[in-house]
Amino acid sequence: MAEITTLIQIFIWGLTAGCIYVLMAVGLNMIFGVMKVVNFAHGEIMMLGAFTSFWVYHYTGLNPYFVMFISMLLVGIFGVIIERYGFRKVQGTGKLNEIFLSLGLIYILQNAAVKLWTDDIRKINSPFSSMTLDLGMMNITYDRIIAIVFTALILISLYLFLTRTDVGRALRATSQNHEAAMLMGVNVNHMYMLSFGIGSALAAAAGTVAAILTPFNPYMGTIPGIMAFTVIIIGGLGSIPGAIIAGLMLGLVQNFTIFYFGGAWKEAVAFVLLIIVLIIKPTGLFGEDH
Amino acid sequence: MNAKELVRKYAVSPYSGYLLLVMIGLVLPLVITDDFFNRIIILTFFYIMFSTSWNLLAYSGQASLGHAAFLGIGGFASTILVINGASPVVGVLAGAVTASLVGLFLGIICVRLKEWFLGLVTFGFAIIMAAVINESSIFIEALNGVLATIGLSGNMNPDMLGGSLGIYSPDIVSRGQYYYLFFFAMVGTILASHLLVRSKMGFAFAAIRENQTEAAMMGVDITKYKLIAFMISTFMAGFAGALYAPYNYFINPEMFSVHNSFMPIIMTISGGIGTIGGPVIGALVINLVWEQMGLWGMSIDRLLILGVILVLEVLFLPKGLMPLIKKLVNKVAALTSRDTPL
Repeated sequence: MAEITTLIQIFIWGLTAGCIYVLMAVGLNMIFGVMKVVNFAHGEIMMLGAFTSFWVYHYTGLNPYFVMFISMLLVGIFGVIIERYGFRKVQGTGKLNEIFLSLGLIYILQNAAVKLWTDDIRKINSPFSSMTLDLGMMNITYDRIIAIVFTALILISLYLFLTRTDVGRALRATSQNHEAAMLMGVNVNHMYMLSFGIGSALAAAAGTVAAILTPFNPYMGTIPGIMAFTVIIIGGLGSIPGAIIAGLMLGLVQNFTIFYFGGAWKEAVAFVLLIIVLIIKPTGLFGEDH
Repeated sequence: MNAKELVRKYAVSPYSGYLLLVMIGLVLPLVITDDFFNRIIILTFFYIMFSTSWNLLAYSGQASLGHAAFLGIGGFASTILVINGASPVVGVLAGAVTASLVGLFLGIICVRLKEWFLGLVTFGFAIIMAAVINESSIFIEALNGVLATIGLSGNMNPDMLGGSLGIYSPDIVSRGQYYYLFFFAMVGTILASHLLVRSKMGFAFAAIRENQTEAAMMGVDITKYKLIAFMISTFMAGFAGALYAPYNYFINPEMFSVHNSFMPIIMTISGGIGTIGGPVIGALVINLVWEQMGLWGMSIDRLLILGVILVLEVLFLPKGLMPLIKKLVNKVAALTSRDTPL
């Protein structure tokens, strides 16, 4: 039996890994809920967020946690553009075309990033990277605590936005029934752009957190992208609470698996979890029938 | 029947396409003796098989985004059998059957689910397979341990999958014969897919793709036909992989890469999704463009260009090149029999 302090340490690591998954998965679910589109290039948008933060940080030297919001804004605008000139054009021509479009985007974004910025491994150096919270028996780096706090703050503001503002209500209405929303005077096309923008901004936040905690290169998005898909399937397609719980769960399960069995099992355990959930409850833990 | 009528009757029939294909295929090695071009042609045949397999699954409305998984499983399973003394024929067929069984397993999980679920699960499956094979020695040792505890002899070689380095895959025919092996395998795959699409089962696939609920109402057993489509398609993919591994001398987790999952998709869409000729034309065009870009020294750029091609096609040419080619064939046929236009 491992020391209790080690277990707490792993718990914190799992929680931060889970936070990245949660930010990714909530963004994917926003887009899916409103547009009924699964964006396979979500991991690449996360990578774009990491690079945006990296370059803004590199040239301005601002605090990376402040830069994160700039990156969220820029990548959010980028997401709106992708929706307007990409996904909007293929809406209604069949689900497969949307899937193929996002596959094409994976190739374009990933390779454009390698072309522009090479595949060297980079890292955003946080000013808190050497500071740790000393709890007597163990140390927790501030960066991990900040990551958890920021994720919570972003999710709370998203919740307030969705429930307390007119635009948020319009978004939720669109996701429930876009025809009825249209009849009530909601501009559905604007809601599509907005949801894609918010989803991309959340991915950018995830990318920045990941880039602060671990080194990255243009291929960083692939695995978190897959894990975000796994999370939304486990949590239930379109369910934001499901994405939060499943995301944290996956992060914790993965990190404890790494500790007890070794790093090789990290991806396999996610897939096993996914298969089990799909067999027992195909709509996911919190999913309704689609 | 005079010559004009013959042309009209057969020029637009798919069988003239087959005849042309077989004739060109048999003559080609006499014309092209250069090793480099020979390799490109064999790769084209390989991609035609692989794309045809993907297209067949898409024909039943199921888009696999991780078809490389089945390619790789076919390749690894057959290579391991051949290394351990199985005859090449048994090895290749067993590789294809293994891929097909894994396909059945994934199909059973996904059959109740919508398009995007299948896409998500297959996409993830291919990447996770690559990760698992990369670290395979750990998993095999663990499996050995499990086998030992339940009383079976767990003495598999932990390095049998070679990890990230891959394994050497022995020749299954002599080097000169690979051309014909791939050629006939390709013709067989296309023909099988053609006959299948024209059969009652093919109609069931199309019905499921167009409208699942209506198909079920008309008495089509959706689960059964979806699984059959999955098994046949993954069998073909595994078969292609089992031939590719020995031709390529070695096989490694790269086989499961997103790129290998992506190629049949872009090829089929370029040619024309849901048609028999589509994957053939698409694989030919895309592979030649791809190799040409390689000759120009592009590496990252050509991946970028592939992505741009796919996005532009989805936006502006969703039916691919096939309709254009059909138009051309019709025009030629009309020209040869000017008096009675088609």
